[in-house]
Amino acid sequence: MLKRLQDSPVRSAIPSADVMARGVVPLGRGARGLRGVVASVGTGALAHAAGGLEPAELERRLLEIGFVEGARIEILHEGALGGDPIAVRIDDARVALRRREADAVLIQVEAGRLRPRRGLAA
Amino acid sequence: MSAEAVLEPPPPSLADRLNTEAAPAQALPVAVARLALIGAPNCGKTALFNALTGSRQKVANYAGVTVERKEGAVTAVDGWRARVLDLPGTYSLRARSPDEVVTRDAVLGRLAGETPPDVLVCIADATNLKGALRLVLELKQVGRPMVLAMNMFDIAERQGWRIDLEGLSRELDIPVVTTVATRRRGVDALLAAAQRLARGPAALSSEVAWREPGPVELRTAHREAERIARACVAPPARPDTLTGKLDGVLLHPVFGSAILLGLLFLMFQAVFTWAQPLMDLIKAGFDQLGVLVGQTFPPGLLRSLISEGVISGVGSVLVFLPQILILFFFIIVLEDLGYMARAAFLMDRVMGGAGLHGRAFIPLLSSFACAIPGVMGARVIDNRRDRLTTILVAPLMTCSARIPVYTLIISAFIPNRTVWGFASLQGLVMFGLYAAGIVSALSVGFVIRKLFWRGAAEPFLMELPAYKLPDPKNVLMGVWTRAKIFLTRAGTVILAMMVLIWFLSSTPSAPPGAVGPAINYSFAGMLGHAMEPLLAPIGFTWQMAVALVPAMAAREVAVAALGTVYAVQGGENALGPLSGVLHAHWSMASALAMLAWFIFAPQCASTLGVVKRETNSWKWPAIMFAYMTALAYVAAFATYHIARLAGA
Amino acid sequence: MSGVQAVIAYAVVAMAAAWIVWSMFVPGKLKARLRGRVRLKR
Repeated sequence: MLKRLQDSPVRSAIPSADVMARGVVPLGRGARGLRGVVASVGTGALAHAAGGLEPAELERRLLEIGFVEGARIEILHEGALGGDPIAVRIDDARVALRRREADAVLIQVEAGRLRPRRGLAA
Repeated sequence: MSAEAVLEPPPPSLADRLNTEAAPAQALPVAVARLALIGAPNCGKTALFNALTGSRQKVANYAGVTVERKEGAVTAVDGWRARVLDLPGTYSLRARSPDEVVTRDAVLGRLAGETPPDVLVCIADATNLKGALRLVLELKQVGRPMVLAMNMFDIAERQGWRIDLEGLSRELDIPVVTTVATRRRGVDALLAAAQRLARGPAALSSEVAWREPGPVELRTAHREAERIARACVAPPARPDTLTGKLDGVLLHPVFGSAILLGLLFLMFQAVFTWAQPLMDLIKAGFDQLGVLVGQTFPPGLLRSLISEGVISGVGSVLVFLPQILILFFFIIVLEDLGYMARAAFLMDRVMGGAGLHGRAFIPLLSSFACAIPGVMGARVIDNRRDRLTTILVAPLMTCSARIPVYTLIISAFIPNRTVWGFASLQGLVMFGLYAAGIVSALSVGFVIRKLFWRGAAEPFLMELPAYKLPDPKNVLMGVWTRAKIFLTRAGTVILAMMVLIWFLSSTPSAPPGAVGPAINYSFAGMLGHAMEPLLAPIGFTWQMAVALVPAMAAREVAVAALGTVYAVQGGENALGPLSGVLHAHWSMASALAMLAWFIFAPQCASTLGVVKRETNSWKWPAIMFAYMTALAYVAAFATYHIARLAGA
Repeated sequence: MSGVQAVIAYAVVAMAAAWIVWSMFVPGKLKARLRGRVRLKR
């Protein structure tokens, strides 16, 4: 899924501009206002999260805080520096997390944009 | 549906367990039942605990670990009595932090020195049921009698949630009670339900069926909770937007950060200006006490111990009580409001850059009053390494015990003149010292992260609770609890240290006909003289070295000690004359070196003691002492020599 | 008189030192065991 995203023409857009999000994207790449449904937890860009917890442990933590397949998601806020961390609405609850961990959650996008690449590099 | 409704699950399912009819008639003298409160953070657990026990609560530590143990007694309207244990908040029994380990082990009955609870009281935030349902489902596996308290039921009703309590009770197969802890509503019903459970058969066996859930079990629990929620809970037609609107401002990249800074500024104003009159009062009280002792006791060692050791020593620490309480007042109010999670969100990037966790922000903030609450506050951090990093850097934040030292030296050496047309030079130096503390704490955190504990960063993953108005009674009780802890410490550890330090600085006494201050001849004096060659390269005289010894008790005691060494009457009270004496005896370079030393100065035995308790090993206080002393030495050395070169 | 004062003062110092050692240097488990023994004897 991720591979498809990287190969898509979306990626070759001007790096600093927002791009419309389509299909399934890692939550960590979304910009403020991105809405969708959790497609899978713990199977996303785990390479990203590898610096932190073990993937299995991260998956359990994400599940415990409420990220579960089918949950409705919206990115509510972004941090001031580099847009990190993000505040997310999961169904009725609000959760804050860093983009690195959010990358392990894949979102079936309904509306919204991706964050400019520059922010990702930071 | 009234907020006090109690709903029992229908018979047959529980009829055998809840012998409602038989129990009251027998009225056997049962042993006092033990209830354990368990629930997620922010569900109003502590408020319910306060509503149940009122002032009849006791705060201690669990045996062998440094997790706070809160227990209280409660008597139901019919005279039934129980002991209530307030377990640390948790989302699941899969414990990660020391606090959560205590909760898990207490629930499972594995905690050494702790009798397993007879009844579990699971507390749910009625406005956020889904998470609580998962906890209930997990707790059910433990097999202990359990009642679900739907707390904050008034808010849920006001927001328009419609909850089928009968259905919930049936689905979960446990009694469900609604409560409004802040108004003591539903407490009697909760106690009645707990009483029926306690009189029924106890937990089926000590071999509990709980095991750590993996991803599969977690997903199953999610589905089950989702199913129950869909069957029994109808969300409000018009969802609550207040939290969303407030977050729009408070989490805004620009306004949010500005508001956080403004709040911090207000807090500092409060801690340093509002506390002053009270601190003066406490100080005057202890001075009076000292005078009284001087008048009533005949001169001798015991009088010296009481007035110089106990009264002025403990007094010099107790003076900080108002500051600590004001600080905790702010922290508790912000916590109850739900703002602290937002502060952690806003600060996460800054803290993360220094290798610290967003949650470390709160403990580090407390450290401005005193490192002790800061070190203890680091418990909110799950990950051991993150917690240790926070503990190690907390004493670098400028605690209020440094203020008297800073004030004394600044008033003696920094000219009181205005620079750049508006700023006072003395104020600027003070600000610089604070900034140096913050910068050094962040850099040390960064170095620890980069050099020693690379990789394995703890994820920042936290719930942002809905905003709530804090309940004044709970805030006051929280502050009172802090006051009790601080007073206990002052009456035990600090008192004992003060007695020891008095001994070191007064024994052996000066020989007859000796010239110079008596401390010169004491063990502290010998130690000071012995340290002199070590401290000479950083510009410290032997008098300064002597003052550092009693400063181990508390940093500000250095001021009193300097007063003694230079035989200035009045000690800390006489900042005026003492600063004049210092100005005459010290070089500018030495004074600046002393300031630099005190930015890092590891010399507060209470902090080292609390680090030992929190980490349960002598290794970490030893590391802390070593690295802080090294930094202090290097900083003082550099300051002294640069100042000398600059001609000071 | 001053002799009595000195005796009391040094006794307090000794108690304080013993208490610090007890509360900070004796491991919690050992403490629990010692306390348990005291209770058993009673």
